[in-house]
Amino acid sequence: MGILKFLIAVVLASFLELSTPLLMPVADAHAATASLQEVKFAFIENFTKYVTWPPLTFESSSSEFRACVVGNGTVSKAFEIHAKSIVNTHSIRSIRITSADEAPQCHFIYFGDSADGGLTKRVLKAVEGKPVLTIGEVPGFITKGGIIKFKQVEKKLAFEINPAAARLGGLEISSRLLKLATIVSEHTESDK
Amino acid sequence: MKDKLSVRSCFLRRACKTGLTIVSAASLLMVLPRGNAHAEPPVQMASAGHLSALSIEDLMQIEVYSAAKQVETVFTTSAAIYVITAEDIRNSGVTSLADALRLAPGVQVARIDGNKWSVGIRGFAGRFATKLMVIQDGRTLYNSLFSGVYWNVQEPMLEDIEQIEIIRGPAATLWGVNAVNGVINITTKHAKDTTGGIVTASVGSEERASTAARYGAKIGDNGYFRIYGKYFYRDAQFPVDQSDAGDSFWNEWRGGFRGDWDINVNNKATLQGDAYTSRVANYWYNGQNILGRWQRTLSDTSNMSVQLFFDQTTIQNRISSDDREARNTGDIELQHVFTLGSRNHLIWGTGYRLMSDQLNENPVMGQPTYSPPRSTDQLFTAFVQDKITLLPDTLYFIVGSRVEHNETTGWEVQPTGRLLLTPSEQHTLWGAVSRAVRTPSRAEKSISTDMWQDSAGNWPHLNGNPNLPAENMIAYEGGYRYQPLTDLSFDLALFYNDYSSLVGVKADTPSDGGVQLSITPTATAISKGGELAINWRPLTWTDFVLAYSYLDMTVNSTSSYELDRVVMYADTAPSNQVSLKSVLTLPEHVKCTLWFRYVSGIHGSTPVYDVSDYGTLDARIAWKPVPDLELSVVGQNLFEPNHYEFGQDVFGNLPAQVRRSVYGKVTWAF
Repeated sequence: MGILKFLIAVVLASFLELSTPLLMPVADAHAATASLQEVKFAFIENFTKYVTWPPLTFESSSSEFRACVVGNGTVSKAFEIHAKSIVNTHSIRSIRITSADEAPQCHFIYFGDSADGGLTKRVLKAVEGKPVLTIGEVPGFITKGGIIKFKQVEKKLAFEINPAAARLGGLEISSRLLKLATIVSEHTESDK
Repeated sequence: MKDKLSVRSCFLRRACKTGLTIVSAASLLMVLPRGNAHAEPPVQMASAGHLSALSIEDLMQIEVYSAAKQVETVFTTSAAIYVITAEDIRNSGVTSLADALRLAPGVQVARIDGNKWSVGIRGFAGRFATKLMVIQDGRTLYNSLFSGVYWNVQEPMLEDIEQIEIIRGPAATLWGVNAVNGVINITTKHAKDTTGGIVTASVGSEERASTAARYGAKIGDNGYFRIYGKYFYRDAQFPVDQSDAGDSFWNEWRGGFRGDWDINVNNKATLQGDAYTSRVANYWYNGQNILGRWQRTLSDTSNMSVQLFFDQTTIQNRISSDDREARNTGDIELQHVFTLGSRNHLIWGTGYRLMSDQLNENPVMGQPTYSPPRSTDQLFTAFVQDKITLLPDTLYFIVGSRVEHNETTGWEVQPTGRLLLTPSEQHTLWGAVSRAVRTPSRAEKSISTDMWQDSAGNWPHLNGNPNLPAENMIAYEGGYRYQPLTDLSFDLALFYNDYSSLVGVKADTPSDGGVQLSITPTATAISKGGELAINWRPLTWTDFVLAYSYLDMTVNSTSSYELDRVVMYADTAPSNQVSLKSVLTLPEHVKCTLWFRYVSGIHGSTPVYDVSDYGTLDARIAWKPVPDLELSVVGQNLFEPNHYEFGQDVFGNLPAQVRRSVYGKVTWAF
């Protein structure tokens, strides 16, 4: 039957295409667009480069950097992969935290948009005044004590920073990062 | 709900780019708040690396697309669900909504002629197929005259469709009557995701001329708005020996808008509407609708939404003003989703629908008449469903029921019980038992029409039956999803559907000769089968989707009259269907799609339904010379010059052969 022949032809053609090294993979036809979560992770990798933790946070340059995530399994899993490139001087351990008690051990906490509101509040409370960089995106994140918050402006991603909250924990944020951010306080967050 | 669900990094990669869904079947089944997308967008690991090298300044210039909000819910849904994404639709090269449905397993789509389709899920497919619920953005698209859909006027701007979610199997508890064999839920994009303009134009052999334009912008501090307009002119397909086969050129003008406002953190509102006018042969199809929705977040675990829509359609014979169908539908619906304790996720809702119509009273040019010609019907509905966590992250029991009151059959109860097992992030196992009913359509109750000539040489006359009971189905289903690798996933679903009180016809011969047919419950049926979908993305630039569907239907009727099975669409669905689609992303911004389909033959009880098997191929090649411009060429049904996909419809309209065709398209975004 002609149909079968064609089916075989299609399958073969597909495999030939697969085995042809000439056709190089194209990660993204137009690098001008990318998935929201991908871009967020890329931002996060950058943020950590512009934040200095207080001298006593790490015992030595080889001690562990604990990157934590609050949110569902999807974001945790993806975060785990990206966490490796967050800092390059320390060994990285990524931890998914599900209760506020686990929070103080973290150097960094990312709150995914699936993060539970109540848990977010308790975790932020638990790390208040501690050298923990908190990054989130839920409305009211800054008001609850968060340091950096993502916000989407039209189709692009931007962020707000509350320098006061960072200072409280002894974190130093480079002026270059501050220049690109919208500076907010607990009272001037864009959407509470 | 949040992280209580077992989640997937990226189930069925296809669904990864789907976005915020206002009324999502998956979210309803999972008892997630609708429209309040808490679920986490997944990440495409494969291409994530290239962003790391970018500076913050560069990152701030990247346009982000909202990725899937409920990929994980699809993987862990306790129903046979499939999502056709915006990207799938674009890559496939289809030009109409009904053809897009061929992408999903378990859906039987056949083009009857240039402007008519037969669409069914798990059998009972036909132009007037009755057992589906079809919804766009919360507005029901099925027509209560025949409990089916006029697919020729369901042509939203394809570029603005966010996704099409398809549930095979009953979903009556959440979606109501008609959701017997399945639900097709079309969602258009949030206005925030359609800012800027887009203009498309295409020319081709069947798709003669088609153009669409949309413009979206931000209005005020927290609102977004878009308007669109489209026009197309399509040729008839390849007609059979008879020139009045019902096939015809077909054109349509359509326009609409959508506005979305995030009033504040806890309140969101949507207002949208469409209007169209379409000409098919001697008929004008006109319609307009408007829908408003308000969603309010009451607390972290409680959401409420209220939705109101009004829909008006008319079909007017341009030669005779007496041949006319006019229909108004008003609907209000309330839904509330909340968490009770740590184990119960509840959803409940209630709704009221008012439908009024005006149909042919006097026989005009052989068209059916209806008695009474005017009718107003009301529908009350209420439902509740609870998803109970038996073992956190592992085992759930979902139980619920809908109670509905309609004016023909009174109260109808449609319960469901489902068990969901998610032992690890790679596996999902589910099973369900549900009851669903299909209440009699307006036509079944009141029609009077001549049918086609039967094999004995009689010209029977068909009469409606105002005392019909509802059709009834008990469904036993199960499914298994397995994702061994990030880029490989399997989705298997099996079903056993037990139907009773299926509506057919019985013949009696009055003393004055001739045959009088009365619509009456004549049959029971058992259908069993399954679907398998495999998604494989071996490399970042290749993408394969295989869908296989099997259906075995046995109908036992007490009526021996030959048109009995025709009326109930007993023999209209193929037993085997295969769809294999490969999308290749090539260098130089070229994308190539090959889409092969095989549909086995249909050998029904009457010769008119004998349709041979066919295999066909669609191919698309698209090139983006600059980011804002796309040029594409699409060839459809390339294997044969023409082929049949369906038989004669219940009123004797002959099908046309579907032709090989080609079109070229330009898409410009600004």
